[in-house]
Amino acid sequence: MSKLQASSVRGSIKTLLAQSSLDTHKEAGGKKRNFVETIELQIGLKNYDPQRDKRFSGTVKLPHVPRPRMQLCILADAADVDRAKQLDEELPFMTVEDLKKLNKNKKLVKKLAQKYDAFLASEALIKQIPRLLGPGLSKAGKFPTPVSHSEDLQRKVTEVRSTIKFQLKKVLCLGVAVGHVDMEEDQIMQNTMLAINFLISLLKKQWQNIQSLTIKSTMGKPQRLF
Amino acid sequence: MVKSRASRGILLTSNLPQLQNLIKRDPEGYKEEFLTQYNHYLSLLKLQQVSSVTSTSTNSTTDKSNELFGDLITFISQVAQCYPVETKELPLQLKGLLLGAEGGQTVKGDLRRTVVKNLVMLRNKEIIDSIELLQILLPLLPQVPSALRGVIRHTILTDIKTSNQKTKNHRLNRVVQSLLFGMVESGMGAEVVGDKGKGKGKEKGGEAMWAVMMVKELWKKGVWNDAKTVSIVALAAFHPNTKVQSAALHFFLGSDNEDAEDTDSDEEDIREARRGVKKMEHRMEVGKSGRKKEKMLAQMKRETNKKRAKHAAGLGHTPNFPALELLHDPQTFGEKLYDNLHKHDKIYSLDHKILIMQLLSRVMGTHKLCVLGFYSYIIKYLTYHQLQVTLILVSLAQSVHELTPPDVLTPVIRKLAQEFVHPGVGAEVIAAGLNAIREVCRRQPWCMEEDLLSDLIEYRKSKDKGVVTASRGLLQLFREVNPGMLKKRERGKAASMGLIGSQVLAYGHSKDAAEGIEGLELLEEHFAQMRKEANGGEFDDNSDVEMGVDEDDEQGWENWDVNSESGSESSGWEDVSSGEEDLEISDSDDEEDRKRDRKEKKLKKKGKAVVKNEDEEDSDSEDEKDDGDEDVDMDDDAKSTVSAATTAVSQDTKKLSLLAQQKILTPADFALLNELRLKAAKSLAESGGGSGAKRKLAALEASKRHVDADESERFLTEAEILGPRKKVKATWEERMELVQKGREGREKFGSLKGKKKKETPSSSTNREKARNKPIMMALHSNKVMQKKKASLRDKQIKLRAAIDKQKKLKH
Repeated sequence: MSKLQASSVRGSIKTLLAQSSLDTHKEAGGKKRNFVETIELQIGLKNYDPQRDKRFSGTVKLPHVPRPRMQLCILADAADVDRAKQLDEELPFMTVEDLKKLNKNKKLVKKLAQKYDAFLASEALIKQIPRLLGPGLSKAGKFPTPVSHSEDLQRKVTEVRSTIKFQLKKVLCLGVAVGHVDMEEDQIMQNTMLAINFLISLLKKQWQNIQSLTIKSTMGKPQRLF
Repeated sequence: MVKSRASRGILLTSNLPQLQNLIKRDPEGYKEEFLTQYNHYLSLLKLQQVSSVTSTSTNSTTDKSNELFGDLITFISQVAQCYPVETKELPLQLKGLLLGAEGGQTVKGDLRRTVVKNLVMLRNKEIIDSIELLQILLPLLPQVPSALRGVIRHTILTDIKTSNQKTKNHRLNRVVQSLLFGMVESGMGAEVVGDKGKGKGKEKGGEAMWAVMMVKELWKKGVWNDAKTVSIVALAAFHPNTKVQSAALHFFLGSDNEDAEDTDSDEEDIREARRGVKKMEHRMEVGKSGRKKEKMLAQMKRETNKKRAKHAAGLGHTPNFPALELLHDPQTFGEKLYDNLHKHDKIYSLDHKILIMQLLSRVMGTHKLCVLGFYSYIIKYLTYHQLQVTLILVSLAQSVHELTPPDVLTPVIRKLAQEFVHPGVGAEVIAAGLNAIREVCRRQPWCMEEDLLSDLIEYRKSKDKGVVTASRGLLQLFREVNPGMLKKRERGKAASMGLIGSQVLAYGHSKDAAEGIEGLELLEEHFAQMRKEANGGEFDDNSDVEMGVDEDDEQGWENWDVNSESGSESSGWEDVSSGEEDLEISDSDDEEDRKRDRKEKKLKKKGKAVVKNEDEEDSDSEDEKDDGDEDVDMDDDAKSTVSAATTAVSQDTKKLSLLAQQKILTPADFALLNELRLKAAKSLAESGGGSGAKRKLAALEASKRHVDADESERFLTEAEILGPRKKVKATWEERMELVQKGREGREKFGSLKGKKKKETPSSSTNREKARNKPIMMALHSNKVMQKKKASLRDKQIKLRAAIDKQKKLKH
């Protein structure tokens, strides 16, 4: 593979959508699933020596929410509890008392961390989080995002939902969600392009660090982009 | 015939090597002889087992029988491949001899060596596989004397290495790793023995030590680099024996600079090869060039390319994560380390404690852990007269990260300031204290208090250079991260003018998610300008076709891949990033022109298709579409805005550069982007953006040169805490040492007269001395003066005597 063109990305997205849509999955050789499949961008890296090169990590906000059904939870003080209740779809919340009940019990904290995809926390509370919960949350990579009283909670929720994080772990490959199959093709396209461009701008040798780029829906076939 | 056969048989019983030779030629024919020997061997084996139980026989006889037994073992193993059925039991028997299975005792001395050697030979002949061999050899390691141990170790290492050479031999690795794991684990239950005081810590650590050593070596060679390996050493870090512990700690601490030499030698190889090619090319140019030489050159080039590709691929395929990163559960590991440190505080020596502290702090720093007990623990070590305090300061600073709660750090900082930074201590102490505070604050700025900070900053007026530097460093740090903490007149230009945008984030806040790529607006601007120029210059109808937001510009991808098998020596990447972008891109204009007609139609079609999908904006875009050819650009723009409008994107995302969403940026784009960013940073630095701007510029320039500025920042060193120090006057001892060092390996100064130039060295003779005497001295010497002053009578007597003597000599 020597180059990646926007048209080929669009083509891959089209096939992917066709394979998982109700009308066209038969001729496209896919299957319509009984849930909304997420579309994921998978990246393989090369020419990258994790011993020497800096570990990169970066977060980027995509123009369209890739995972609308992401489970969020707010660790809230009194004011934020009210705000969370008033949202269109009520945001699950936990108060300080609830957290104290966990009693730093590792299993309970782990359970909490597993239950939600991301956390918010009132600004006043954020300092106490390590003391209240121990390291469980940051271990799961879900350290809460602070939200102040002046911020619009709904908007913050959308922001968290549309933010993706590139973080290299113990292997040289990454995966991020860039959309779901109910989205418009253009939206997926924009999300994918932004994600790719951002990732590449993070890498030291840019395109030379990329081994492969693949998109795939949760249960669909992988489509190689690069 | 019969007789000769018999005599040969007699000969054979005593001459095993010859029999071996014959057997190898004709296994069937000599089976009987073999069986005789084999039975002999079996009976000796039995005897060995029995005698080792009683072990009463005298030395000389055992020596002799051992020798015979050893020879027999060698013989049997040599010919084992010829009689696989008969010798099926052989490996087991050898194992029994070595490890003392079935109640028998183990063999010692030469015999053991022989058995080991034969086992290795059996492995080489593939009668047993390496798993079996290693299972026997590994437990043997701690028991044998050092000479044999070296052999065994070498055997094990090479065996594992060769079996992992082509692909990882997972089965073998798993077996060996679990063996090693068992070796470490077996000692875990024992009571902790400290290494403080006399008579303690004498034991070597036994097999656990050897397990750690093996793992270390295999890790260093890059044979094993997975998480399982690390877990073995992680377990050993809590071994009751301190020697084992410290070996494990060193494994983690030293693992960051290990395989450097390996890859370096690889690179050196490649460079050498390229030099060879260059040389050959030159020779072709200046000298005679023939077909043979051409062929040779081509071959060399191909080989170089292959080498380079292999090197590049090798980097990609065997990623070697540092051991610290591969820890299974870093939090638990850290907590256990801290518990170990805290619990055995009294019985560990200081050096050992510092080792543990260092590892703990690194684990905490890398994995962003909170082991809050550590900070209250370390406080008691923070006194200026503490031995090795710099290392303790290093570990303190390293353990801090942005998620460390500031309120646990504040007392530590306060203690540091009280203990190190006051007028009653030496300048080096103050400098070290300030540097340590700075390093902690760099990682967690919120642990500082305003009053304390203003006090500390006052030290920048000190007379000592180190103190001044340290204090200024602290000031500079806070100017950057949190100028609000400083007094107004100390904030500096950039901060007080509000030029620094990026303040430190409050605790727990992470940087806001980027919404685009840094500097992308510069690129977009550049493209817009290019477009405008193209329009102004040509007045072309069709010139509106977007350059930047084009579907793809082939140009950008050209020649970017270094690994591509092109014969040219220059790598495409460097070409692209050299400062000729503007030229190249303006080239692409002309090429674009040719393509335009084709592309324009395609674009227009696409535009239409999209527009049809949109209902609300239909009328608007319909108009534009009808406007004709000129508006292809507008049309395309409309497409992007329309699609943006359909989604609930807030207003401000539109302001932001949409380039990244519309186009895959090519390598050339990225190169251009870097150039533009560099240019922008330069202009900012020149227009007085303060030191922050300058630093950013430096960072960008560094990244352009492919120098990673951050890698040195990964772990703190002692030197950073100590700071720059004035060179102190050397003491007498130091000077004498220097003098002695200068004298080493040179001849002693002094005259060479007489002593060294003659063939037999001796001192100078009286004759030589007289000859070389200065004339004035000789003139005034007693001997000459006497002659001069002698009376006439004396002179006459002497003359007469001389004449007589002459006469006598002639006869």
